[in-house]
Amino acid sequence: MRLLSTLGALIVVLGIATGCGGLDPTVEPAFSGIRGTITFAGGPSAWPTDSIYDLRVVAFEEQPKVPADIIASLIRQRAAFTPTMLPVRTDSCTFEIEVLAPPRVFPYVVVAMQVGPNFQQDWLMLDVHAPSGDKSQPGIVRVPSGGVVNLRFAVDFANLPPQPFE
Amino acid sequence: MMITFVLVLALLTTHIMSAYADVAVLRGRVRDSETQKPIRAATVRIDGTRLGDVTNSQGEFVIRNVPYGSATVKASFVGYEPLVRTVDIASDTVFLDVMLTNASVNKREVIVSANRRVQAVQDVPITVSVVTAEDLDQRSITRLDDALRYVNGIVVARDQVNIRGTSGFALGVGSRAAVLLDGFSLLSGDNGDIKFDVLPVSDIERIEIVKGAGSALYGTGALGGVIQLITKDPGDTLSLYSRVYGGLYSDRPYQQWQYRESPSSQWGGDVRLAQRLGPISFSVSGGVRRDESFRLYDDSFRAFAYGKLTWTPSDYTTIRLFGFVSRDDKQNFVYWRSLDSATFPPATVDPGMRLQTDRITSGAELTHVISDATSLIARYGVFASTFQDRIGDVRLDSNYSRALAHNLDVQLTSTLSNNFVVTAGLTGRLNTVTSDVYGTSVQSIASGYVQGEYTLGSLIATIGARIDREQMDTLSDQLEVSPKFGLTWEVDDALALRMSVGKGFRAPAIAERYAQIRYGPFIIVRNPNVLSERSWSMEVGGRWQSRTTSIPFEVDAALFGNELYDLIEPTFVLDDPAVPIKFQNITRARILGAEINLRCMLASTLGIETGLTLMSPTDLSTNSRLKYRNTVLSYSRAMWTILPWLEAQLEYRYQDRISAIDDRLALFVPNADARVAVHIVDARAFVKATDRVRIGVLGRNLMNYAYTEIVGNLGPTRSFVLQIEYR
Repeated sequence: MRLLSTLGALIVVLGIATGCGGLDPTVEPAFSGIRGTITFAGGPSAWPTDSIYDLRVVAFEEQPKVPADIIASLIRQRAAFTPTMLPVRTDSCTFEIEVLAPPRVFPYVVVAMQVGPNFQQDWLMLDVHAPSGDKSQPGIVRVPSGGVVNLRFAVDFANLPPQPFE
Repeated sequence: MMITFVLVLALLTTHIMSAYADVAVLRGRVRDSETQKPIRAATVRIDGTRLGDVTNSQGEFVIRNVPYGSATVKASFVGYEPLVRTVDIASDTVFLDVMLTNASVNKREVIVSANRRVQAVQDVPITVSVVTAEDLDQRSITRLDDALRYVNGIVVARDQVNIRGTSGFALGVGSRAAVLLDGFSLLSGDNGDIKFDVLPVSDIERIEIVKGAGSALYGTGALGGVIQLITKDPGDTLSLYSRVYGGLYSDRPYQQWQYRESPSSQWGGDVRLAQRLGPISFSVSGGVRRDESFRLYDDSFRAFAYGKLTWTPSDYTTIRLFGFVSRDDKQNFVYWRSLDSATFPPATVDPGMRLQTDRITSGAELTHVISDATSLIARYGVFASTFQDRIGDVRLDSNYSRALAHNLDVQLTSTLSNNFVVTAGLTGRLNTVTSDVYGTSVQSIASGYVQGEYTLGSLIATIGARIDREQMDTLSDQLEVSPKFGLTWEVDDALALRMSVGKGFRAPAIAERYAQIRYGPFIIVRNPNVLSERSWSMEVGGRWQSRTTSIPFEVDAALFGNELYDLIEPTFVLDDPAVPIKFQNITRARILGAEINLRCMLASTLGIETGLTLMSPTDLSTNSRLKYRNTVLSYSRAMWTILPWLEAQLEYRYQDRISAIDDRLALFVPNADARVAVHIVDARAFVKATDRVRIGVLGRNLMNYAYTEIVGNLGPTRSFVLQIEYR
């Protein structure tokens, strides 16, 4: 009888251990990424009248040195970006970037606009994440696993940041 | 090194010149004094010499080369009182019937041949775990990797065996454990991998797992350890064994993982026939396995046949031939669609595509007692393997490989004096590959090794070294020297201490150098410059048996460390726009750990065994946790003989959550980060219907626990199997 109760207790303990903590697809996986807002100084009227082909927030693992590096980074999955074109000719918008394979580090996060038909070349940086305020010194964004980083961008079409290209 | 080796061979040759003295053969049988049943795996030794044997499944032993005169024979088996008897060796053949008395400890003392010769387990300076045929029977093992899952310190993910954390995630190529069948290598010539599910389970007498680098004797591959499968020797009476089994996977634990209305099935069968007829013995076996799997597009069909023919023309000579054929035909489930659809492959998978792997192995072995102190073993084997993707009968050229691995091994073992044994040998391995994905490659490895064991009272010191030379057409020759040192001290009958240091290395598989292939979402590119990876293993341990306490028990504990150099890891190449994977020597790692195993009888009908391995795997290149490694492994089993004809078993296996993987995998595999600790409970009940028929009911993953074995791959869900055995 003592033996039976010992075995019974053992099975109960194992049942408790195995009943907890297994994979559960009904639990929404934690979002990892970058969220935030972009304000555009001067409102809709400040936007260029033409040459707006695309608008994204892009987080780079390496700062692009030539325009072609932008698309190359996206293809090599060394950059994360907003999945669709952001609204244009507005005074502000929000954005969200899901970062796969966290934790990841992005030393260069920008608002980028495609200003011509050549998507490999025609990109212009509208604002860069620079907590110091010095736009020539981009800030590093670290996205932890299951964590969200909030950023604010302020685009001033009359005062664009230094472009990264050599 | 080579000069030393030649000198040793010369010494042995000189010793052989002493030729035959007056020697005899001691045959016999070991049985239980109460039940009269044969005892398998008992040790029989001639005291004061290195002569000895391990009993086969009929309890039989053969000790050759016994000098005429009086011999003190010691027979032992854990759980039985050791027996010492003086025998007069006065004729060419002497028969000895040994009866051992049960000491109410249901344990097993075994002799291991992982040091390339028969030894008592307490004489081996490194941890060796043994899975006996009895263990395989009791667990109703149909795949040998399932047997390894229940060895403490080992993790099995698909066909990849990880001994004490030495292996990680390597896309199924390049085993870091040398795997041998009766001394013949079972690693394929192209991928350097092993298919455990098509090995002849019913022929296996025992599996020995050496935990720690073993390249000083076994050369390439023995980086993390050695797994040796030893087949049964036929007895004098015709032995017929057959087994059929069938079962079902129960419902998946979540609704979104259901992909069919009815449960999927698994079934199979084995048959083995064996007998010794005078100087000739034979063993033939075969089996089929069909598994519909617990996942969509993951079914498999496997078949194999094995045969062994042994001819003993004299008491001094044995010639053994064997052949093994297998086919593995399966859908290739690489990773899941997502955690939400964990039993579905990605939508792009063609359900008609199958991966077919064929393997043919054949070999010959000559064992010859040259003189009263020297024996020779010469082996040659060839292992042919092919794999190819097919849709119906159409072969796809995109994934095809044919490989041949030739292995030659000549070994001399000589007892130079009562306390000094030398083992030396030469080996050669030639791999040739013709493949759409690996190109045409030839790899050869030539080796020489020597090991000496010196006994001084209760101390045994082992020192040895091996030199391997690898040649490939695209590389300059690679030279590896692998030394080892070991020490055992049998303090008393109950306690034995050990320590060992040894080097291991693994020459890259041809696949790791030349693969140019798409594997699921991954593009793998060649890297002909990848070099051998190396390791140093250190261990200090002890084994303590207690037969006198009210609860007889046996404890084995060890502290171990592995220093790993130039580990070959599949690595994303971020500078390439396609982000392919390349095998590269990138990691310097250290694994420190401790292991303890306990076996005891709580009552005359209830035995338990439990083990715990703690590890600290560190990637010294990045000063972070080594990827794909566990830090805690544990395994427990309880065996309860409820009635003489009814037995029940409960097993529990735990692995902590792997904390680090390559984060880039998440770019290709959805929810790659979804992984948890592993808690698996298995239960079994066996009914002995007649003397020859046993019926078993097995529940695997009884709690239907959901976990991953490797990234993006759900572990097997709950299944129930009914098995009927006839012997």
